[in-house]
This record gives sequence, structure tokens and C-alpha cells, in this order.
Amino acid sequence: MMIKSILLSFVLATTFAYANSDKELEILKSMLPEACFFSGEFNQSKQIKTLPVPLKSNGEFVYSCDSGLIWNTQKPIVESLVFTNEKLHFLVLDQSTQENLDGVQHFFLANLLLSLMAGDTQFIANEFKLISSKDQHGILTLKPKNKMVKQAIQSVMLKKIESSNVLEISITDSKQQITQIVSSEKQQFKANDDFVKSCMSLSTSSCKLLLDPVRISTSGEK
Amino acid sequence: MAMVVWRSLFVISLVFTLVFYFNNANKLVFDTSLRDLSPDLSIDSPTQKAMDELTANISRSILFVVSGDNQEQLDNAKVELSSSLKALEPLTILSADSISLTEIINSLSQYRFQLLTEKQQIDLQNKSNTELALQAQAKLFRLTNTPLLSFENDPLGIHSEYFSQFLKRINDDVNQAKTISDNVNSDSTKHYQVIQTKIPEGGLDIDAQNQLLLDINEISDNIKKKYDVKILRSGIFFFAVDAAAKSKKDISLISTISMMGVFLVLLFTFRSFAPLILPFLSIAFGVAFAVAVSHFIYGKIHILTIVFGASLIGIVIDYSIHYFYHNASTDTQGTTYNSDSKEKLHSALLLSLVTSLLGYLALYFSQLDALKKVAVFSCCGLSMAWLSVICLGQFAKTNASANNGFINTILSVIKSPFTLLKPSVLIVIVIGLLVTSVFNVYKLKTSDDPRFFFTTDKNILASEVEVSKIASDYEPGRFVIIKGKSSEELFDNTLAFYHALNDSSAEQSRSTNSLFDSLSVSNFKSITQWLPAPQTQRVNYASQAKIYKELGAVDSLYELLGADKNNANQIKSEYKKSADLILKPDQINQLFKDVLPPLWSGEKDNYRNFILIAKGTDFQALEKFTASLTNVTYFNSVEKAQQSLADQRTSASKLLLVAYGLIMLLILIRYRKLTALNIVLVPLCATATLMLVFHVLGVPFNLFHVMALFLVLGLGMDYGIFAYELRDGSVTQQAILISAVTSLLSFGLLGLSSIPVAQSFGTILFLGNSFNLIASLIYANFLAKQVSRE
Repeated sequence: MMIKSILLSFVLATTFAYANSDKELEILKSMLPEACFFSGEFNQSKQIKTLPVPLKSNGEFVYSCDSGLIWNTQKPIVESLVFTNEKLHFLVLDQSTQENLDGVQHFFLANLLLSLMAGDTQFIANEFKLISSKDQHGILTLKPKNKMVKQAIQSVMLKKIESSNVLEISITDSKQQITQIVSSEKQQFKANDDFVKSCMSLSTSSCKLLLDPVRISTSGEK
Repeated sequence: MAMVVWRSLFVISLVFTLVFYFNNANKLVFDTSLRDLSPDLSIDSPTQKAMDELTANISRSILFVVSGDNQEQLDNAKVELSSSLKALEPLTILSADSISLTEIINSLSQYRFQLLTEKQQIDLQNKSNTELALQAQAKLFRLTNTPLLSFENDPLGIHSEYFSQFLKRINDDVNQAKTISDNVNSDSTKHYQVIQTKIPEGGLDIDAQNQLLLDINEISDNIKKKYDVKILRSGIFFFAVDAAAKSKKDISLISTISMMGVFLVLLFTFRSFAPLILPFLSIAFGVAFAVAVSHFIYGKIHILTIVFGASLIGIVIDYSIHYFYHNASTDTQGTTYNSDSKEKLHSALLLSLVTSLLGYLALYFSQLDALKKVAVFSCCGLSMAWLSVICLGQFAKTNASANNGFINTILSVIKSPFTLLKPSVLIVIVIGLLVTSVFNVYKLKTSDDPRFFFTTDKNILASEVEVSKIASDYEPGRFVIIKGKSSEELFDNTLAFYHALNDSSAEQSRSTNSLFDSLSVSNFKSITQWLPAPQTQRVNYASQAKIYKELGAVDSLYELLGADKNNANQIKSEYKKSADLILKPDQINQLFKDVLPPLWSGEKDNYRNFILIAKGTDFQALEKFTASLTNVTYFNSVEKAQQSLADQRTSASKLLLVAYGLIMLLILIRYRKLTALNIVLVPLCATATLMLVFHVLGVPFNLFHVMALFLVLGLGMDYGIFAYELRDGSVTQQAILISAVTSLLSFGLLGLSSIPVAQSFGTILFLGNSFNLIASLIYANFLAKQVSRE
């Protein structure tokens, strides 16, 4: 709650100082999805300085504007991240191993992903200074306004591939590690029922947590 | 010979005063803090020291609560209020700005091998090196894995995970203790935002304080006009400003009217401006010297000292009055002002000073800093005024003639009832009065409530109460204090307290009628809950050997990722060097000093841990529960202060009896006559009458009343001594009357003060000194008749 209030207060405090222009807001709006229920896939590549090769992974995701997001990594590891609109976030390794995601950075990145999926330009514009690329059209760099967040994340770059539903997200953290995500929307659902079916087929335990989020006790029980 | 001493002292004091003002021109600091009015509590000195630090820290806090029905309006109002307050120089806003993640992580990272979450402890116990490496590898792929430490400093990501959760937990706790932020009350649609600020260490001077209040008021008014919100505020600051404003008003009221009154009385009495020079010089020198010495000793001068100091005018003037009256009397009687009469006068004046000093010195033995400072100020002021009269008197106009006719008429009116009093009747009345007061003394009502010290503006108090309901979950003046001889012992004692709480909770669940109904562990917040116990830290370090030993989990991870294992050498060596490190609570307290009061403190072999108690806790049960534990004390500051004031009142009453005894001894030594002890009957009868009046009216006696009785003694002795020494009938009685009138004027004004302490003092001194006047006139009359008979 404190972090939330600090983040919120700081974001609001700096809103006036870093008011984003209409142009950037338009670009941002054009990049974000409009549907309420959809699924997609992603490819992720993370570059860590000490490691010789980038860490590559891929998987699928499902999103519901009513409940939240499941980010399901399938290769080379299998696990799901569940980000709920109720501000409770979980890591699901398998049916019996589930954990709360409590850290500061989990909280912040969950908020970012949820707002990107929801097309919540207001939240993003409040949290970030938006900088559009002069050289390339359709590239937007988001710089955190919050001092606390800045210490964990340096910037987030968004790039929309024209005439497709592909969004490239590049997160540079404070340790100069760069995580690149290419996400593409695969299917839209007209109703919540269709979404639930797709969600359950992706990961039953994750989907249950998404639809009915309850904090997991230290013993691992809900 | 004596004059040489007085002149030397006068010159030294004058030089000191001049040098002081020359060096400190425009640098005088006026203190307005309320701390001086807090009694020392009946606790050991390390706990008192820790409590003082805690109080000093808390008294720097100013909390603003913005409330409104519309969330958007509220958010905007909060942002604007926050940025406007931030622009005010003396205020520091506590927000994300004041919590530096980098600084915290950098400071704590050296202890990372001692810190593990519960889950990490279990994982390290149950998983193999390979499993741990695989778990770390999975974490690296995770989208939200933006570590707080670099890969080289934390390859498995466990330390980053710990710090991330640690920060969240601390923030949650800080939040729980202070704000409910933007929470929505489910029963109503009221929304709240809290802004926490601090004023600088050491507080603000009176001008800066007033300016800050003006700025805060202006900012708040503007925001309330612009948005549909309510702004509440809380903090000792507002009480201090209020008290300072009242004190300032009192100072100007008392000093102006006292000076004017004294001026008029003297002018009327002596019908000339010339005799006014000495009294006013003595006031000026006395007050200037008192301010210089007080400021020199304490580094500042408390505003309450000046309020009391202003009432000194009425007493200081007495020396000049007696001086002039005596000279006028010798002139009128046609006697020359020879060395004999001069010596007699000086002797009476000296004895009068000594008795007044004894009265004021008694205040120094109270445990209230405010009264100690008043004692120092008053003793210095009286001494310097006395020296001024003695040393400069010879240069003043000595043939000032008093307006005897008119004053005698007044005296006759006052004395007319006394003529009916035959000596035998008088003796019966005195004995009856003393016996009655002895019997009544145990029946007197008493009051030791420390809240009596502060009468505050209703609005400030209402705002304080409302903010407390919204923004704090913990009791403000109650703590559980745990003691220990070392940091580690204190930690163990704190854990023992929590274990005992757990046991009592278990007992409660077995028996619903248990005494400890609301003593659940969650009601008690300690800084020790923010870090592992030293013993656990050692276990954590030992269990991480699995990660950092040769061919441990780190090596497995590097192998898994295809990276050069030599890159792990640095962290392995750092691990080896950190074997003896232990993270202590005071380091955590220091790191979060901007948002946390000093709950953990100690040095050498005295350590204290203050545990916060949630509102709604069963305090009676807690008191019984802690009584059974060693090194654990339930502390209620209001109750302790009340107890302390009661103890001080009792000991001051005993001291008053001792003071009477000493003064009687002094009189016997000085006059070597038993009949001289009758002088003491003047203040004794005045005190006895006062107690009778209080008993009849049902006014409760407090510590300040008792302390004021010392001054009643001093002033009564003053009049009694003059009556005894200068048995010249109406002249002495006139001097006593004029001198008492000026004192009564000052004390009467003090009794009208808006500060309860000053009011108590003033009222009792006004009444007491009125009785002193009556008693001394009766005594002087009695002595004059005796002389005329002889």
C-alpha cells in the first residue's frame, strides 16, 4: 500500500512537470490493443552482461480486461506469471507450486503489462515521460517519472510493427540488462466464456488464480 | 568592606551583561518547545534518554490529511499541497524522495549473506546444488526479474529477491503506522491522502515558526478554495506555535501593565520623576542580566521563562521602595543618613533578598526544566536588581518624600479591623488557623494530570484527534519497552516477549475467558520484525555455504549458462570475508531515520527497544502480562507523568517544611531571639489561610501551587523582616503596602495568563501575597505598638 501510494503520489506530483504531448499520446494509443479479451504469443530475449549468449524464451499469453493477464513461458522453462487486476500477482510453476510475487519490481512491471494490454494510456502517461523517435515512425520510449521506479528500470521502448498486431517491448533495467519481447495478438474473444475456455486450456491452475485471486499462505495454500 | 564586595559583584555582572549583548546582538534564540514542561518520568536514565530521543523525533513531525468525496479532486489537491509544502524551506516532505532505494540496497548488500526469506531457508535446506541452479536459471528467464543487484553480485537472484520483499514489508509497516493513504472507507465515500513532513532537527526559532504557520495556512486556504477538500493537520508544532503566541501576548500584557502600574504607584507615592530612575534602572539591569545568564547557560531562553520573568518587575521594585522609604523616613525624622541606619537598611535588604532567593531557588529542585529555568532567571534578576539598588542608591535622589498622607489613609482603612484584635485574640486566631490547616492538609484535593499543562486551541485539538483516527494505527504515548545489556541480548529478550505473547494467545484460544483477550502478536510492532535475529543470521550465513562453496550452486549455475566460472570468484571470496557480519536493528533504524522514529537505541551495556502498541489493545491485560516478564515494561507516558508529578508534589511539600525550618534557623542565628521567630508567622499564616481557602473552594492543589508556596514564604519573610528590622510604625507599613501592591499587580496579571502553569502560579501568589500583606501589617502594627509601649 505504501509503495502504491508513494508511486501514485510521485506520479501525480510529476504529472505537471512532465506533461506528455498529444502527439505521443496518439502514437501510444495506436500501439495498444483495443479488444477486451484476447490471447497471443511472445518471444523473449534477455541480455545479461556476464553471460556469453542472450537468454531466449517463448510462450503464450491470455488477457481479460475483467481479470488480468497470464504470461505463460513454455520454452526452455515452463512457468506462468499471473497478474491480476486485484493487484495480487503469482508465480505458478506447476499445479502444486504457486507463489505470491511480492517484490517491488514485480508490482511495477505487472502494472505496466496490465496497462499495456488494457490500452490504459492514462496510466502510462502518468507513470512515464513519453518520447517519440524522430528518425523512425512508430517507436515510443517510456522513461519512468517515479524516482523509486527509476532505480529499477531505466526505460521501456515500444515499437509497433505496421500492418500487424505485433508489438515489440524492450525493457532496459538499472543493471543495463535488456529484455526484448515480441508479442503478437493471435485471437480475440467476443465473450468472457470463450476467454475462460482458452485460459483454462493454457494453464488450469493459473487460470483459477486469475479468476479467483487469493493470497497464498506461506505454506503454499490458498 | 561589604560594600566593596557588592560593588565588585555589580561591576563584574555589568561587564558580563555588556560583553554578552555585544557578542550576541541579534543572535538571541527564543525557545518555544513544550518539552520543558514535560516532567522527568520515574524511569531509569537510559530509558529516559531513549524516550527523549523518541519524543524529539516525533515532535518534528507534521502530518497533513487531505480528505474529500471526489477522488480526482483529492488527488490533485494532494499533489498541489505536496509541491507547495515542498517549496517551504523548513519542511522536508517524506515520500519516495526520502526513501532512497539505492542507498538502502548499497548499505544492506554487505549483509546479504546473513539474510534469507523463510522460503529461501527451506529451499536451501531441501534442494540440491543442481536444483538451486535450475531454479535460478528459471528466474533469469522470468519477465519481471529486474534484479536490484547485478548478476555478478547475486547470480542466484536470492539477495535481490530478499531486498525486494524487505522493502515492500517495511513500506507496508511504515504505511500501517502512519497512513491509510488513498483507502476508501466502505461505509462512506470519504477518501484520504496523507502527507508526512518534518521540521529540521533542533526546531525553529519563534520568527521562522510563525512564518511557517502563516505559509501553511495560506497554502491550505488556497487549496481548500480551489478543490472541494478538507485539510487536517497534526503535530506538536501547532501546539508550540499556539503556546508561543499566547506567551508573547502574556509577556506584553504583564510587562506593559506592570511597568505602567509601577510607574504610576511610584509617581503617586513620591510625587517626583527623579526617584523613578533607580527603580527602573534596577529593573533594566536585573532583566538584562537574567536574560544574559539564562541564555549563556542554556544557549537559548524559553518564552515561558520570560512570562515568569515579567512578573519579577513587581518584586524587583521592592528594594528601591524600601530604600527610598527608609531614606525618606530618616529625613522626615530629622535624623541624618548615617552609616548605622545605612547598615541597618542594607542588612534588611540583604535578608530580604536571601529569603526571596530561597523561595525561587526551591523551584530549581523541581524536575521540570521550565521551573529550573525560571529559578535561574529569577535569582539572577533579583540579585542584579538588588546590587543595582545597593550600589547606585547613593547616587539617587535620597530626599524623596513619600505621599504619606494619602497612603496613611489607605493604611488606616486596611488596618481598621486589626485594631479590634487584641494580642490574646490574635494568638488564638493564629493557633486556630495553624491547627485547622494541619488537619486540612490531608483532606486537600490534589491534581497531577500532566494534560493540565497545556490548554490548547479547540480546533488544533480536534484536528489532532481526527488525524490520529485516520493516519495512525498505534497508540501515541504507550509502548512496551524491552531492556537488554547488549544489542544481541535485547534482540533475544524481544523474541522472548513475542514467544510469551504467542503462548498467551494459545492459552486464550483454549479458554475463552482468558485474561489476555486482545493481546495478539499482530498488535505489537517492533523493528526486530524487519530483520532476522542474530542467531538466525548466523544460520542463514552457514546455509549459504551450499551456494558459494567450491562446486556449489553458483558454480552449477555458471556451468548451466555456459559462462566462465572464474567470474564467480569475487562473490565467493566476499562470502568468506562476511562470516562475522551481523545486521543490527539500530542500523535499520538509522537507514530509515527519516521515516522511522528511533525505536531501537542504546550504548555500552544499556539497550532499549520500544515496541509500538496497536490501538484497541487491552492495556489492563497488557500491564498484568508484562508484569510477569523480566526486562519488559509496559509504559504509559501520561500515567508515568502523572505519577512523577504526584511524587514531585509530595517531595516539594516536604521540602517546603524543610525550607521553613531552615529559615527559622537563619532568623535565630541572625537575631538570636526567640521572639524573632514571629517573622515566620507572616508567610506561615498566609500559607495556612491559602490552604483553608483552597479546601473550602474545593480547588485541587497541584505541583505548581506547592512551588508557588516557596515564593509566598520568600515574600512573606521579606515583609516580616522589614517590619521587624525597621519598627518605625507607619513608614515601614507604608513601604510594605507599596511593595506588596506592585507585587500583587504583577502576580495578578500572571494569574490572568492563558498558560495554565503561569495562571496557577499567578493566582496562588496573588492570594498568598495578599494574605502576606495582611499578616505583615498586623505584625508591623503589633511591633510598632510594642515599641511605643517601650
